[in-house]
Amino acid sequence: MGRSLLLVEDDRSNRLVLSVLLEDAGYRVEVAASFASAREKIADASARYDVILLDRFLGDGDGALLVPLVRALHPEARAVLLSGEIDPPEIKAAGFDAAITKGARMEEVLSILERLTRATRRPSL
Amino acid sequence: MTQESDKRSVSVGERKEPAAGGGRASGRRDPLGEAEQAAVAEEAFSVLRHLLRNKLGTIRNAAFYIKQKVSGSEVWAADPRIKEFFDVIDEEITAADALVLDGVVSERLFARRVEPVSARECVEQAVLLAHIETPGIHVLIGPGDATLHVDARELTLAVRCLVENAVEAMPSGGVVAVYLYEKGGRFLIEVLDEGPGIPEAERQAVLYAYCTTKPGHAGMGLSIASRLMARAKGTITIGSSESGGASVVLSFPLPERGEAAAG
Repeated sequence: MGRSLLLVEDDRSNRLVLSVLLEDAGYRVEVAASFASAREKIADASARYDVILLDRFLGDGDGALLVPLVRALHPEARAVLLSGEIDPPEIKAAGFDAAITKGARMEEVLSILERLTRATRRPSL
Repeated sequence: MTQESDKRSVSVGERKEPAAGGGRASGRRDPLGEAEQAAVAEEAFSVLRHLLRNKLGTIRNAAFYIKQKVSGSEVWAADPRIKEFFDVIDEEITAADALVLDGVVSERLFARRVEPVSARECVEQAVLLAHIETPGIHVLIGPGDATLHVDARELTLAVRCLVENAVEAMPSGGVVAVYLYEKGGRFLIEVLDEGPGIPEAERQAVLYAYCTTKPGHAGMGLSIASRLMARAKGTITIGSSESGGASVVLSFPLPERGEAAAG
């Protein structure tokens, strides 16, 4: 069974393109287009995610604020920041496992996700 | 140097009545004009940069998808220009992304001067230059000072942004208190108001440009202060005052003991 991934991205085009590419790469993808929708999906007791890919600037909230909820309810999931600007100390402070720059080549994105999901323990940033 | 316990002595500290209309509204040239112009441009560019990189990334990924689908096809094999054109898309997006990243706006508008400055002088200047039209506003500055290695105009601008934000939170008047003190090996400038406060869930979001609930405002004050603090190797933290209003703390690293004299 493929790895499960929750994509949290409020930009419609980016959400479409990324979800299709990730599905082609073998992930079972669920999408959330807002902070509220993402919080609902993460809080769903029946949900299981291997990776949660979070855009930072969602229209109704900061994606980074979902990381504590991810840690509490999906302790084995990898929380990955998806952002136009990456500030390493800020990423670490927010509790992300990794960060992917918007605009990174898809090969790089998939390589990062592959490395994260292959690790038996959550990597330290 | 003033310790945090000296915060309680603000009632006997200086009481500054801001100049009517402040520096900008009085019609006189604003000594922070250049710094403010650069800071506003930098904020606007930062937002544009984020949005553009988002769009460029989506275009790149869409092209990647199409390339994957056609790369094994007869058309691909028959026309080498198809691969070439995909390479052009990728190269141009890389170049555009680099242009967006390299666009340093503020350095062309403002020559920064980092030198030892009195935090207190900057705070006093910020209060004097603050644009305050609301009646019944009193600004109190507590005791304390320290020498910080920053650009004086940027520090003054950051504090002015916080003071003006505090004033705007009190449309019926009230007290803006500015404390200066040392805590945990750092020097803090804390601005408190008696307004409704900033909900905890919004305290990160308000540090980004254009985040405002006030009609007609660009919502840049806190984001400008945040960016200036990052440049000064400091931090900005939003919390609550004892009255339930907002507390915004600028925290600076202190020079090594034995270097610049402290207040």
